[in-house]
Amino acid sequence: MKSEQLTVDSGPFRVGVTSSEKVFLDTLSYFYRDVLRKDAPSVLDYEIHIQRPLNVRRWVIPQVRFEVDDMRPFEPHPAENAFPLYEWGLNWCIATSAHRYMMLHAGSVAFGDLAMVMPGTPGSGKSTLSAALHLRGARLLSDEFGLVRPEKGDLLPMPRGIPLKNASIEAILEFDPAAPLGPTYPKTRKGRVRHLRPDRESQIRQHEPAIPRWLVFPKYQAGAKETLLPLDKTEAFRQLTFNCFNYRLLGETAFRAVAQLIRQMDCYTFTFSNLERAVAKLSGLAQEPGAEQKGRA
Amino acid sequence: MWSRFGANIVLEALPSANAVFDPETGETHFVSELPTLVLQAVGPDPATAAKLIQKIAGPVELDENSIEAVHSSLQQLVYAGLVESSYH
Repeated sequence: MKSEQLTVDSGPFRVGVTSSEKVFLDTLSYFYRDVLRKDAPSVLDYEIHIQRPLNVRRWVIPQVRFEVDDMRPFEPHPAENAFPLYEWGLNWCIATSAHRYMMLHAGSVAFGDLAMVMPGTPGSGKSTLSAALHLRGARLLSDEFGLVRPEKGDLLPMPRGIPLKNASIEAILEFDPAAPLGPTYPKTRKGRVRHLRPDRESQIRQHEPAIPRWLVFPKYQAGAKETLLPLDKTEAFRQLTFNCFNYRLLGETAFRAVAQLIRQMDCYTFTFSNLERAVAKLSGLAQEPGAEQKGRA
Repeated sequence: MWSRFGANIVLEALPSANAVFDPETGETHFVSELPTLVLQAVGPDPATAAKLIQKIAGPVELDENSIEAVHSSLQQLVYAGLVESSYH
């Protein structure tokens, strides 16, 4: 098949994608049809190629390679995993280069234009929680990157497919059987993966920043009662720096940006096991009287 | 004698321990109230502990426990690399 070139608007990034993998391009269109264009802008942030190698693995147990700026930072993946490879590869591109932003390892959603930021290590449940909140109407900002503009203290959206892994897939389908999920990738390096498509509104509003208002450190714990507890701001500061990809690199800029975030956000820990109850609990924060005022202080 | 050279620290007051950014090392420290006061009192010119105590306490005379606490704070700050100790 002939290579096709597309441009995906991914929050503040313009991503050029070239591939001749039809299934991959169809999946890309399924997830990002509202922000996909065929007329390439003159300047791209990343030019990504997803192509088969020129050796025998082009046809035999076919593989694809991720290439950006003439670099191939990863080993080839099975061709059927082209879409997750693209998503993880783009994450790598952003994490290793987008230091104009302070990057939090966090899921984030917005209620109106007020953001709930949920930092966490793998397994904390931040992606599943972000997905559930989004399915119940919150605007998806990101499930992976909290992109903070240090000079403004706001959060830039980058709504992309949320990769649900293993049991989280069933948890989301139980929560919402009509959840718009893409194909299942049974054999990725992170196990079984399926992506939740962000809704149209989140994608077309991806250039509208959100004001950080709540900082919630989630922890999934099987069987636990949903418990939302205020977190001491010193500890919140400490944990937020730990969950910041480029804190050390940005130095004083990051310190001041974190300080500003901690000042303006209410900080919590949140233990949960059931998504319905978790969403009700967290959404309740947005409905409290005065929720809107502090975020704009 | 105690001193601190280099760029000024950046301090963010927080409830249980203040966040202190050291531009010299790029490190972020969490420092409780008394060590923060001591850190703010230390400057580029070496000063004795007595001088620093006078600066922190002003006209108030500190008891033995408080003086011991200041000494302990200085040691913590040296350990954190925020203050240097020297003998003159």
